[in-house]
Amino acid sequence: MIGHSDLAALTVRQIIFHDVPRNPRGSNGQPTLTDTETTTDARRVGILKKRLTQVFGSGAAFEVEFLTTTASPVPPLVHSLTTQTLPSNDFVPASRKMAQYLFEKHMGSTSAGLLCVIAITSGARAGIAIMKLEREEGADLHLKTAGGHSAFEMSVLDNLVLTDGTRLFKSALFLTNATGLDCLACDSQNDPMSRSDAAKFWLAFLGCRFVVDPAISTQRWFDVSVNFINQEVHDPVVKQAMYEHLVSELNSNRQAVSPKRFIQDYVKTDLRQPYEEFLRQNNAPIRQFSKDTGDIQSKLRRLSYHTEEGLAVIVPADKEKLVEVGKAQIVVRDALRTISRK
Amino acid sequence: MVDLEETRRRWLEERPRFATFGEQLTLRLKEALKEEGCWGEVTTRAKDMDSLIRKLIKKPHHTYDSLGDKCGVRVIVRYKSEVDLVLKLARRVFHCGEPENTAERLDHNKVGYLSTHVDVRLYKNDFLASTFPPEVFCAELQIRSLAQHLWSEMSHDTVYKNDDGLVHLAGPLKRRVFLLAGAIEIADNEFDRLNIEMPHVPEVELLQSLERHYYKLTTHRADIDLSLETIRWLYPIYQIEVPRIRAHLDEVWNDSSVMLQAVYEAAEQDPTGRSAFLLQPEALMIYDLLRRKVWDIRQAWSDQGLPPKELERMANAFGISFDA
Repeated sequence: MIGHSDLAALTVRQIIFHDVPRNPRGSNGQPTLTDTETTTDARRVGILKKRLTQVFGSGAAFEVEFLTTTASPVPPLVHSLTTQTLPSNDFVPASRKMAQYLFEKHMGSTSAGLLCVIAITSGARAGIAIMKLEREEGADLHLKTAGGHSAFEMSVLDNLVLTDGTRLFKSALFLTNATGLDCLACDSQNDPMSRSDAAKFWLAFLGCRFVVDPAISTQRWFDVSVNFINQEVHDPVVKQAMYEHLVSELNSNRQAVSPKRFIQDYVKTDLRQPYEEFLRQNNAPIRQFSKDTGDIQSKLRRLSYHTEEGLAVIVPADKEKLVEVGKAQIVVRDALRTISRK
Repeated sequence: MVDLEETRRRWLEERPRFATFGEQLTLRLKEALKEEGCWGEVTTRAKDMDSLIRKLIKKPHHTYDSLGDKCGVRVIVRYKSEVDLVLKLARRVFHCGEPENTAERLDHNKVGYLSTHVDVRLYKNDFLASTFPPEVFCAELQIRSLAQHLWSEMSHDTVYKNDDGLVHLAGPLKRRVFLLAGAIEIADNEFDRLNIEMPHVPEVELLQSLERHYYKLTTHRADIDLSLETIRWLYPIYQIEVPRIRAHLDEVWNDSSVMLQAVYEAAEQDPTGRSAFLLQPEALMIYDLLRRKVWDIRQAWSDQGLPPKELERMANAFGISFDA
């Protein structure tokens, strides 16, 4: 488990960057592998730490574990580096192997980028952070005065990384625990849980897989959320709206669910804190998880009955038997709980 | 009369070591104050050559070796009642002589320079005792409240610093000097009493509680107005009584002090990136709410019209991300 205390106490010990270009089929390109660590100062370390916290503390980071069999050199290299005393002489060669493998995994459609490997400690825990950073464009303005006139001169900066605008990026954090390693991964550009090859690319590079079965996470989050709506939301209109959003989120085309994003987008301000606490207390996921609605399909499907006079009756698919449709009438066999007026 | 030429030669040679000795004492006192959560300004100074010579001329019964204050360390605390605490801490880390409280030198109908002085040396079993042998290296530790320091500084270059100077002043002038010293002493006493007897309003009670932990993390002084204002709208988020919030914050401190120390050490190294609220005692409360009631504090922060980036900087420093 990697928590906020680990991220807060994080200390950067060694850092290196390698340039990993695109690798279209038939190309003779090669990555630019550096052979010396990047020297840094407190301010730069501060920026790095901030970005690491933003990404690994976010709802978009998900728990992963190393695959038992994988072609990726990352698992053994991470295991080896996290058991050594820092600074380690193996750090630079290990990072070069990772960058070389990343280049080999690159396809024609994969963006070029810089692979950043960081050896870290957090209290007594040792760790490795890996980030793939894509270069961004920006502009720099200078005020120039000439001939009594002043104007801003603009220059384009096209080698920017880790700007404030890039909050999520391909990254992974491995921290030792009493028995092994805790691992978090994040992937912003592609939906990490998508089944496409492009999306699987980052996890394949890391030699990792998700820790929790997506079907279990999905069912747990749905059930706990429904319980919250039933037990804690008292306004019938709000209750209905939140339920609709919940079902809609699970029926959407997104392959992953971020409970934090759901709270931000759909939960009323005064219910956000109680809802998040309810999820925690009931062991429902807070971090992003891969969506698999296979086990709750019947709860998500709804039947709509529309009458000639414009009435609508919406029924969960698994409660279909409660509605009896006659020639000139519809009978709902259930007790009335509330009436809401919109 | 002591050989002043020999004194000059020896002091020229030994002064740098005494200066280093003073720095070591300062570091230890700062650390001890921090552990106690007590704010104090600690400074050190090895005497200048001319000051040392003047002292030996004025006090001919002293020799170079017997002069105890060749090196001085000064601790200025906010309140008079904290002077005893500093003395207690000094005894814990150094071998201390008999303290001298200058107030005891004054008759009950006299006012003037007030400070506590004590000679300090390293303990014989101190790991630095071989570098700074206690029989050679001694420093005078002066402990004062801010008000006592004000009098001392203002009177330093004047004739009314001590009774000898005052004797020659005309009666009305002498009276004004006594009134001034008395006013400062009254202020000192009142600041102390006010701090102890401060009305039990929630934000003041909580601030006092928070300050104990805050000064264990840093020596930076905070903006108290901002603290009180912030605590005033933060504490209702807890929805429990103030004594329970105080007890809870003590628990938070106990659970998180190691992590918080790491955060403050990192922030000290990168002053440009830290939030202004990190150097405020209520930072502990903000941390606790970010950890437990992030949505509530974000809403309250926004309701107050405070810059959201500042709260995010705080969150990031404590390892918390706002990104969904």
